[in-house]
Amino acid sequence: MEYSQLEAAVIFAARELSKHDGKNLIAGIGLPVLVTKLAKELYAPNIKINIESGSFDVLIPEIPVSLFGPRISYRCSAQLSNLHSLAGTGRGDYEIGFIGGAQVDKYGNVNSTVIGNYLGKHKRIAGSGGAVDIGCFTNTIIIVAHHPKKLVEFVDYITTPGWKVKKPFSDELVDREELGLPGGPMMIVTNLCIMKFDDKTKEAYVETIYPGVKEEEIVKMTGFDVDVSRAKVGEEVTKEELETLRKIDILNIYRTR
Amino acid sequence: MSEKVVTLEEAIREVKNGDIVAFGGVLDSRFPMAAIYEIMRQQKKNLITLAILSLHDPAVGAGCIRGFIGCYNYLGAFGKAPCIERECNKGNLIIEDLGHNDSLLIFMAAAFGLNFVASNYTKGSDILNPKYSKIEKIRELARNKEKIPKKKYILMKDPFTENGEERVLLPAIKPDVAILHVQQVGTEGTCRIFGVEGVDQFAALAADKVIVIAEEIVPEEYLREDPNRNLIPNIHVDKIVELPWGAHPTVVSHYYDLDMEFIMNYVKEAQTEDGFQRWAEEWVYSIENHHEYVKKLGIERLMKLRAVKGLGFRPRTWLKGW
Repeated sequence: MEYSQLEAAVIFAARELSKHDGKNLIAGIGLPVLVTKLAKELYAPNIKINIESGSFDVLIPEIPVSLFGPRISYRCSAQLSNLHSLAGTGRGDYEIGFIGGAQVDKYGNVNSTVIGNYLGKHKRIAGSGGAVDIGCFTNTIIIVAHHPKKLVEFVDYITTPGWKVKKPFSDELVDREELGLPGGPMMIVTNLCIMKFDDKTKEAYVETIYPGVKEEEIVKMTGFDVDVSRAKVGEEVTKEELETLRKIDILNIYRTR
Repeated sequence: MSEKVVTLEEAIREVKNGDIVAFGGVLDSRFPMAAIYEIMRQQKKNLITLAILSLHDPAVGAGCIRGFIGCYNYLGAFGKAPCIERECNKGNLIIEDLGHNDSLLIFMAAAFGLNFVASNYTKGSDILNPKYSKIEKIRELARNKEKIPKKKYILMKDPFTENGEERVLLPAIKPDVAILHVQQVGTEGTCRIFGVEGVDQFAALAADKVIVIAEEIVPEEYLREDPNRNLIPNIHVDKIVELPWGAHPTVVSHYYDLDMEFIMNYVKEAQTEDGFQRWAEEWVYSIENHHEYVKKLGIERLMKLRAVKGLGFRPRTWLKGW
């Protein structure tokens, strides 16, 4: 079956969640909701999806356009305030946090605030939403479109702290651990590959390449010098995976195809 | 009926220029749109808004809202908020970036009578970087300047731990007025919300004045049968407005669904300043009141949005019938 690269991204990300069945996860706005729903259908039936809308253990009967609407709160375990669910990151409720971002660097720092110089010429983008709260305390999965302007050496502004972060009230870069932050970026999922982080250098390397994608393309489309020497080719996308994904998002609300 | 019950026009007269306004609802959910339109009609100035919202975009385009202390500036799945982006680029809208928890904690602190809280939700982020803070500029806009803290955050050593770990102190902000759109309000002001609660309860407890706009006014006794289901006590509510469809085009759980077509059209029109002016003329300024707005939307459009009992939304595959 033919499929788009974005569909591959969603499916490969869902496969990664199979290793976390039964765990608590918090998913941010956008593709994370689609990925976690697919994972729950196919690979991790007991994963608990929680949303920063105050909604715990959600079912998502229909893919939502609004993250704060009735398709999220529908028969969830409890519907409380946004703070109740998002402060679960600080409490340690969630093993995994799943976010998107406009710009991601090799240390897994994510920028969703401004592109360019905050104090000079810049373009404003979405803003943190819950991304900073999730990134400070959980093991994060970051989903981003693979493009040299999006996968960069260092982000223009750290919205969500990754492995090399800002010391509070300064521009000094320090290791995440130095600030006592738990968790940290687990992987970057793009429409071409999955990147993971080297234990020592904390820099992203290519771990899995989707079938049909060429190494050269990844190198060309990555804005930092990326290590592809450890890359393996992922297993072909199955008919079942594609059909399930297309059934979940039957109207292609998330424009994956 | 209680004296609290007023028209939308009367209620919005309570909002003064330079007020800090907390809106209930989140992004495209249960957002008090009719109040946004009325704020535009009454040409309010220098308002400062808080937390996580985005469908206030037309009031930014109309020049009513000049400051924002919060965490989000997009229209959710609809992408860029055209007026917010434009006015921000022109320097007319000043944004102070917070995280999501912190933008609720500033309310929570005020709601519980606290002056500040210690929050660790932005460590490692540039949100904590003082060189990016614009709080002083927002302070200049405020009618009551003392309500906006001089500093966004303060860093201090934790006096309760041996190693004196660094903590981030976040000051409370007490809104002048909270404007909420809820599903049901009692005749005395008790509020029942269905679905996502957002920041409504904290905002109502924290604000000096609370305006509640509701899909329907119901007997207080009905709500008192199950008091645990009520989110805001009547003693906190100052004005009540009954306004069915008052959150259109946003989604109101168990009442109506998101009007995606309407929002997409807005986004398209508001890309240019002229386009936004045309849109505002058509949907706000040339319309006398909410009743006329609902009439203009028309019954066909509204019927397609009605939520289904037992679900709280309208399944997309049911749309064909209408």
